[in-house]
Amino acid sequence: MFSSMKFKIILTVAVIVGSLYYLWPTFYLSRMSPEKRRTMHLSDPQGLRELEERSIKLGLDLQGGMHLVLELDKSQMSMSADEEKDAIDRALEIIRTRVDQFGVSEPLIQKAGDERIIVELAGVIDTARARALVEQSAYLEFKLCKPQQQFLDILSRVDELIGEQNLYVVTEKKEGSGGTPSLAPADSEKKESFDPLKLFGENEAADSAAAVKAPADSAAKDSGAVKAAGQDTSGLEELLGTAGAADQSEKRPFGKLFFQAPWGQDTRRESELLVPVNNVPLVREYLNMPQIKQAVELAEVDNTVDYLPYRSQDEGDEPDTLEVLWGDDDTDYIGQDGTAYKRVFLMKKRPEMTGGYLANASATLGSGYDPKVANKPLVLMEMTGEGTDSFATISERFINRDLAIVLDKIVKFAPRIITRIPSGRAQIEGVPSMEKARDLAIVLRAGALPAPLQIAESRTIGPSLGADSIQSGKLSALIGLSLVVLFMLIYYKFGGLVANFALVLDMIITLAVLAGFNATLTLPGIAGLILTIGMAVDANVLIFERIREELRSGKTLRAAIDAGYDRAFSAILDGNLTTFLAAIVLFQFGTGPIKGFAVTLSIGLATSMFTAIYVTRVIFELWTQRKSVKSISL
Amino acid sequence: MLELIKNPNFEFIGIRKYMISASLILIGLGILSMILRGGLKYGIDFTGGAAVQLKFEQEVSPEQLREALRAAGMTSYEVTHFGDRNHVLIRLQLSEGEQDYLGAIQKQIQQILPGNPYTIEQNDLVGPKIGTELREKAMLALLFSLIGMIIYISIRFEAESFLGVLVTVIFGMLVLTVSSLDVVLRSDFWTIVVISIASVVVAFICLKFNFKYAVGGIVALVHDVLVTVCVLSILGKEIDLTIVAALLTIVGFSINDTIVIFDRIREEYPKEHKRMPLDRIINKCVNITLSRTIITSLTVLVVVIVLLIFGGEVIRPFTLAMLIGLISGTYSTIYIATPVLIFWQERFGRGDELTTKKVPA
Repeated sequence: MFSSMKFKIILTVAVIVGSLYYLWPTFYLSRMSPEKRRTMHLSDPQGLRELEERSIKLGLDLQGGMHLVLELDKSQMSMSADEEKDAIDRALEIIRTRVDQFGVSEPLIQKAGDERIIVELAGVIDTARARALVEQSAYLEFKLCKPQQQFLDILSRVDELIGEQNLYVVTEKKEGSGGTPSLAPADSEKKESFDPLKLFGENEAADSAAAVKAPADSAAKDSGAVKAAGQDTSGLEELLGTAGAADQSEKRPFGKLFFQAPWGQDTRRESELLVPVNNVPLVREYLNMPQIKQAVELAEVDNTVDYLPYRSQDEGDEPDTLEVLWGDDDTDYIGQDGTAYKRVFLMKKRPEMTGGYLANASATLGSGYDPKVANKPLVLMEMTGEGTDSFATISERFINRDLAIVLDKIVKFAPRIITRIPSGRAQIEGVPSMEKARDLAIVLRAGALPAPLQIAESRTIGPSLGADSIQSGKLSALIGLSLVVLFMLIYYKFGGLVANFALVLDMIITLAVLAGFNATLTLPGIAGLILTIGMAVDANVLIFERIREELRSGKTLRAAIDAGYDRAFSAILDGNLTTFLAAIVLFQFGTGPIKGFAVTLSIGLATSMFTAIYVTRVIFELWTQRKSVKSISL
Repeated sequence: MLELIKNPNFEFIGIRKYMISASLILIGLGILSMILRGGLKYGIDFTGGAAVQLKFEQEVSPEQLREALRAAGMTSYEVTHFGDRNHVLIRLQLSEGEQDYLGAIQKQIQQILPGNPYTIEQNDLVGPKIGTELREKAMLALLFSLIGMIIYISIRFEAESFLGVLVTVIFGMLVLTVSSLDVVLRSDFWTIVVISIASVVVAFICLKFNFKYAVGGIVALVHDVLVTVCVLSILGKEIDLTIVAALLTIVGFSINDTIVIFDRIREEYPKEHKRMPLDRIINKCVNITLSRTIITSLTVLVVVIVLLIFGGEVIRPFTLAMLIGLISGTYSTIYIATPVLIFWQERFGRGDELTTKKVPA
């Protein structure tokens, strides 16, 4: 079966089609204009990310960006290997949090061995910022979260503001939804529990209130909401004083992007709200607008929204400045249908306590009899002397409120204060896993690294240079290919034509393989591709020279072709093998761009063997099967 | 059929003495240039330091930039044009803790060249520790590839002497393991020790087992690497990581030619050795494979030249090294590998071991 003509043709065609399929995202993405890309980023970031993941990745030297190698500056202080390892782990956590701010898509942050951290930021070339990233000491804060109801009120205020000042962001509207961007959850039809409740807009889910486990009346009593609470969650719309689900989303350009978390005894007591990952860029866009930013910050100060009802007993009446902070990626909530939601909090800007008050933190398993605690992961915190007093006050004033642990402006965890803690020893319960507990402990200790981080190596390429390199690469590839193609045509005529087809196919398959493995293309990688053009042709030269020899020695056409292919094979393998060996060594020892070279060279040679030997033979056999063909020009 | 040359019968081997001399002279010149220049010109990859590439809107003179650097407090620097007169490359050696060189330099440029805006195209900083490590890695990479080739040629050509191949493979593995040790990786001294011992042992193995082909192949490879480095030194070019990558590629590529000729020699020798001396046989083999050699070398050469012209400044050092190496690689097959083979056979040969066991291509 494998040697039948049909199989060979099918295989060849399958390979061609497969390659084109894998190359399609790269092609499509490269043709997209920057505006279209930006629109897609806002309206369908998931789709855009998928396209990017399936395209060929461009190395830093082609798209511009920074490559940093960080290590601890041990010159001032010596430490044991274990201490260093721990310090690097903490540093890693800090760097991860900070890189978030750069908004780089898919930043690379990883440990290299036990002593180094590698950071790659595509598109970022500001060396000063990079150094700040590394040299700043970590900033750990404990901030008070505002009640969810207050958050909801402010969302309404923002909605009004957007309407008043016409701050709408234009996104692509999908067909058939009558003006409502289809950001409604696909699961709003389902009556499953634990699906986040959509706040505004078409809300059949409102009917599935029973599934959401929210007891009806709690919100009003606890948070002292002035507004009348509905008996069930369908009263949400009533809560906001508008009628008619249909035009909800129109009036809530901002609010409709948010969801509520459906867990806990009382959904309205958790401070956080959820934003589907797809909506995040849009929310950030709105929050960054100066009018909205200010409106949120000064909501209490200007008393645009009544805040006094939300104050705890001992909290006092002084207005606070507010801010909106996001949760860590690790803390994303995943819905039943697999959608990821980022947590977002409204909180008091001024921290209640900073990391300096924390003496130590560790992860452990709970002991004792309390089922909520026994054998569950816990994080133990120990305050310093001053910290103990501070914390005692805080835990008393803000009992039953959520206290967010914020590292470099990102919320790592927001536990609820359950009891007063006078001893300076607190435990955080409800940590989802031991791993998360360990991470949290690292975060808490991250405040002080034993030695500063320093940049051991930094490579920055500006985007213009990267673009230039791509241009030169394309040009060289084109010219090189043309010259080789021309030569093959002149010297080997029909055979040359077949070989050229194989060569072009080789290029396509190589690129497709790179896209398929999500490999990175670097400038040396492009050079490797171009080298492959020259080397790939060798295989065909060997075969054709052999066929010529066989023809000269009197064999028939078919026999000569067969003999030529058979005998040339080992020579081709030989030649490519040594180059493979060199490529393996290069891959082992080389840095990023050189690894790229080794990879493209190897893939190029491998696929060239396929196209030069298999594909050209298929074509020759097809051609010579016709009885009229007695000889071919070679 | 269009053919390059029908039945070529050129004289190659006869002039080998002249060609070898030419090689030696070239290498000698290279070593001289290295002595005069105080060693190889290493890039910052190996010496540590910073390299900044700037693109100005208008032409700029290196002297102005040197002023800026002096004013910024830099003591060890080098400024050259890079490509055209709008581009400059600044190389700096930094002392400990001088991390914010860029900020200081930018301030001074602002003062000295206010009307000439610029962009930073590239900015590389390599700390001294990393520089040493990269240097070691490069040397070891070269060592690894050469050992790899030795093992490969041994298996391919000296398979008659099974013991010899076994010894080579074991020894090769040993060298590779030792070189991966931290102790060797972090120190110039130990790396050189490993390389020296390895060379001596390899030479010994070749003598003991009469690895004539392997010797020829390795000498040709070493020649290629030497010539490339020498020419680069004469031209005053920098040696950095990409050059090492080019060298490794050349090693992998140059051995191909050599293997083709050796294969042919093994095929022809038993047929002809009663009639012709070895050097005539080799000449015949070179002629037979001439067509194939020219075309395969030509296609890669064309592609490399295209890259050299159109590939842009960034990759130019790499393509230049490839060009030199490829030419040397083809040359070395005929004028280094085969003469070594002849010499070896005359000195140490034991009769008819040049026969073949494998089917040649």
